[in-house]
Amino acid sequence: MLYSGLMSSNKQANGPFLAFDLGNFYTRAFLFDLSGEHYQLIGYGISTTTLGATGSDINFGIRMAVEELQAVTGRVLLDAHKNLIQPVSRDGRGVNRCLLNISTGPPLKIFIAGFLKDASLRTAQRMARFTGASEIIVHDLDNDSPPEQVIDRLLDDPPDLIFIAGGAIERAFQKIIKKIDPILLAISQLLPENQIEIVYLCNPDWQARVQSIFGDQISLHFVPNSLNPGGQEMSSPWLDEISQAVVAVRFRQIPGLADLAQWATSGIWIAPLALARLTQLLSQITAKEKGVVGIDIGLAETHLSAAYAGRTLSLSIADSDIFSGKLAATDKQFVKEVKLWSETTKVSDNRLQEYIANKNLYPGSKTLTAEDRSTQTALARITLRKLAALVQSDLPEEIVTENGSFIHVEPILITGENFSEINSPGQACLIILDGLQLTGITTLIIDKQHLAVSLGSLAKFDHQIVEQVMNSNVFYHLATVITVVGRATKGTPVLRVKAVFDDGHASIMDIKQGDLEAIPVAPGQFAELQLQPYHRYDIGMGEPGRGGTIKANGSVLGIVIDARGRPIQLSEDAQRRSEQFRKWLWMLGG
Amino acid sequence: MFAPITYFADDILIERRRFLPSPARILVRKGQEVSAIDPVVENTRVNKHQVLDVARGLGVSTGASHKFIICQVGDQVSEGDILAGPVGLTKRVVRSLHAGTVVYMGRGKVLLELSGSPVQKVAGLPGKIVDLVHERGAIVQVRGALIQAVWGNGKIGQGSLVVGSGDKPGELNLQAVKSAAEGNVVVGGACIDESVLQAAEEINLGGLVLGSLHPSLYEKVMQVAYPVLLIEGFGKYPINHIAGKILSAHVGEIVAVNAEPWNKFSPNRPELVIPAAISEEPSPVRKMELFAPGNLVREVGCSDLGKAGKLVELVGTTSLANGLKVDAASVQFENGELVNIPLSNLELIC
Repeated sequence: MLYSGLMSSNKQANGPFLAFDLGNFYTRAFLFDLSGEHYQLIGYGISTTTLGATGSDINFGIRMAVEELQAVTGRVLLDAHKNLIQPVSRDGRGVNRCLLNISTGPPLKIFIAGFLKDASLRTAQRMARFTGASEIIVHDLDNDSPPEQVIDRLLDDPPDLIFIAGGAIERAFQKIIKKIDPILLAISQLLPENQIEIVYLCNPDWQARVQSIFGDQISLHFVPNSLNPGGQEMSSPWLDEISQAVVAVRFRQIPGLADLAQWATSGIWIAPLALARLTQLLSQITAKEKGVVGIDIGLAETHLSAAYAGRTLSLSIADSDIFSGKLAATDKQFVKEVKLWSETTKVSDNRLQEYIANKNLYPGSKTLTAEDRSTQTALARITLRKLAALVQSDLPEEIVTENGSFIHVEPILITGENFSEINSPGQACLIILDGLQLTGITTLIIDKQHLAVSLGSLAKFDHQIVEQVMNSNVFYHLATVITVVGRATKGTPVLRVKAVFDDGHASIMDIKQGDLEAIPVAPGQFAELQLQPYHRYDIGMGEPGRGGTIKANGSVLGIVIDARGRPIQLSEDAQRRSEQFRKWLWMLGG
Repeated sequence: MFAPITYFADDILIERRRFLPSPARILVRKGQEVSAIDPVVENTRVNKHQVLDVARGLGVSTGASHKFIICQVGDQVSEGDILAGPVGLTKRVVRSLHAGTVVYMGRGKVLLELSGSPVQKVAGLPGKIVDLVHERGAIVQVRGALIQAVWGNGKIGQGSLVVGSGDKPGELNLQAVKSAAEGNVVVGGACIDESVLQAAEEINLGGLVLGSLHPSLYEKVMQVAYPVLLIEGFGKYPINHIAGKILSAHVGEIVAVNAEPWNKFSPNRPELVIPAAISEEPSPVRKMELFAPGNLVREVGCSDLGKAGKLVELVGTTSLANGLKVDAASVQFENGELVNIPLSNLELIC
C-alpha cells in the first residue's frame, strides 16, 4: 500500500459519494463507492461548465456531467426529473453523499486590515492566500491614513472579502476596534448585492463582542488568531470557515449555485482549500520528516499547497498575470523569458506575443502546432518558477531553500487542466524539474483524472476513503527524481549510482555534472539504489557529500537523476538551447 | 459538449441591462427611445467621502454624540453648514468642510459623501427602454443585427458603417481609414500598423471593427478615444466570412459599437448592434446548445483565427499534429477545406 496508516476505521463513511468539481471550463462528476471492502473511484463524467459564453446556469453542465457518469458506470443517479436521488433508494439508485468543489468565479479580491507589526496581520495574509485570491490589498492600520482614504478605496472597488487581523490580546483588540470605523462606515454604504464577507481573526472568546460591533446585518466569519506566529499551523476548522466565506461570495456570483447547493448537502468547498486538505493528509500518511507539495495548474490560475509535519500553506497565481494581452505587448522581458524556456527556436517574438494575448482570450483552447506547444510548456515552466519564487518566504526552511528550491519534499502531486495537455511523460517531468528547480530526492505524481480536489474534500469525511481510493492506482507515478547539486566543471563525475533491481541484476552508472539521466524501473518493480556522491555534492541525504541507499518504486520514467545544476543554466544561444532541451527530452524518452 | 455561443445574427431581439454597481439615478423613462451614447443612469456616488468625528469635535462621549447631531441621512449640506452642536459654554459645533450629502450617522461620526461630477453609463446600443430597476439602471431592447466580439478597448460610440479595404486582402491600411469620413465606423481585417490607429483618431472616427490587432499595438489602442472591437483576436487575421457578410449588408447604416471589456461571468460582451428588422420574426436567443452536425461554427484559439464554416461530423477523440489527443469535429470551411478541429477550439455561431 502506498498510502496507509492514519485511520483503521471511520464510522462516518457512508457512500456512495458523488463529488463535483466545478471548474472554469469543465465540470466533473466523480463517483466513489465500495468495491469489495475498499472505496474506489467508480467512474467520472465531464461536461463543459455552463457559465459565460457557454451558458448562464451551472446546473446544465452539472446534469450533463452526471448523465455521462450514469452512462459510464451504468448506475442510476438522477430521477425522472433529472434531480439527484439522495440518499440511496431501496433499489440502489442514487448516492448517500454529495460534495461540491468550486474552482470558478470572477477573480477574488481581498482587503486585509491590521497592524503591520502584529504577527496576526501576517497570519491573515497567509490565510487569504488559501482562497486563491488574485488581488490581496494589505492596509496597515498603524499608518494613520485618513479614514476617508479607506472608505473611498473600499467603495471605489469593493473587495469580495475583508480579513481583519483582530489581535490575540485585549490591548490589541481595543486598538483594532478604534481603527476599524472607516471599514464599518464603508460597509454601511454598500448595496445588498455587493455585500462583503468579513473574516475576523481573533480570540474565540471575543466573537460576541465583535458581532455586536458589526451588527447582525454583516456576515462575519471567525477564525482563531492563536496560530503559530510563523503562520504554518493551519488546522481544519479555520480552513472550513474561510472556505465558507468564499463560498458565500460565490453564491452571489455564480448563477445556479444556490440550486446546486440543494444537492451538495455534504458540503461545498473552494478548490484551493480542498487541495490544501489533500496535501495535509498526504503529509500525515507519507514520510513525516518530509514536506508534501500539491500543484493545480489550471487554465486560468495555478494553486500550490505545501504541507510539512501536519502544517499547511497555500499560494496562488492567477494566469491573468501571465497570459494578458497587456503583458504580451508591453513586457519585452517577459517575452524574452518565454523564449528562453521555449523548446524550439522556430517561434518569432510576434508569434509569441500573439499566442500569449490570444491565450488570454481563449484559455480553454487547445494548442494546434508543435511551436505553440513549445510556448505553452515555456509558460508552464514560468508559472511554476513564479510559484517557487513566492514560496521561499512562506514555507519553512526544512522544505524550501533560501533561493526557493524545494528540498526534503516528497511526493509532489501535479494536477490541473493545463498539465493534462502534456502527453509526453518526459516533457511533463522536465517542466516540473525546470519550473520548480527541485533539489534532493522526491517522487513526482500526476493526477491525470483531476481527482485531487475531490479527494481533498472527501478527506473532510474520512481519511480512510481517500487512502483507499489513492491506493487503487488513480494517480500516475511519473518518476523518482534525484537531484545532485554542487560545484564542479561540466563533465566531472559527481555521483556513482549502483542500482540493484528486484530481479537480482545490477548496474552501475557514473553521473557527470550537466547530465540528466534516467534509469528505467517499470511500474510494479523496485530498485535499491546505492548513491555515492563525489566532490561533496549534495543529493538530499542530510548534508553535502553524504550518500546512502534508497529503495525506489517503479514508475513511468523510473529513476531520473538531474545533475544539471541549480539554478539550471540555459545556453544564451537559441540554437544550442534548443539542442539542450531536445537532448534532455530524449534522455527522458521524448 | 455544450458549445460556447457567439452571435453573428442579422435579425435578433437584443436586450441589455445597463446597470451601475452602486446606488444610481435613472435618467430615462420606460418606453423612451435612446441612442447608443445617450446616458441612461448616473452614479449618485462619486466615492469621495469625509468623516466628521462629532464626538471628538464636540468633546462629548460617542454614546451622547447622537443627541447633538442636527442633520439627517440624505441631507444635502454646503461647506460650513453646522451638522452638530452647539455644546457647552463655548457653543462648540461641528461644521461640514465640503458640500455633500449626509450618508451615514452613528458611532459618534457623520459620513459625508462629497459633491462631484457623477459618472454616467450610456445605453451602449440604440433602442427602447423596456424596464427600469430602482437605483440600478435600465434595460434597453432593440431588434437588429448583432456582431459579438472577443475584445474591446472600453469605449462606446456610433456612426455610419463603412467597409475599409486595403492593398492586401484582410488587412486594414492607412489609405482605407483616411478615405473614411468623421464619425464613420470602419470595418476592416487585421490592423498591424500604428499609423492606422493614429489616422482614425485624427479623423475622429466613430469606431473601428477589426478582425484582429497586432499585440504590439495594445497600449496605443487603449489610448485612442474611439471604440475598437476585435471580432477574432490578436494577430493578423481577417473577419470571418459570416460576420463579414452581415456587416457588408449594412454599409451606410448607423451602427452602435460597445467595446466594453468582456466580463466572462456576465452576459455582457463587446459587440456591434445595427438596428434593423429585416424579417417577420427575429432569430431566437439561444442560451445553451450542444455541438451537432449542421451547426455554423468558427475556429477560435491561439492560431488559425478568422475562419468559419459548417460542422460536418463529430469525429470523437482524434490526434493532432502535435500529438495531443482531443475530442474533435470535422468542419468544412468556406473554401471547401475539410479539417478536424478540437471542440475546445470551436464556437457556435447563432
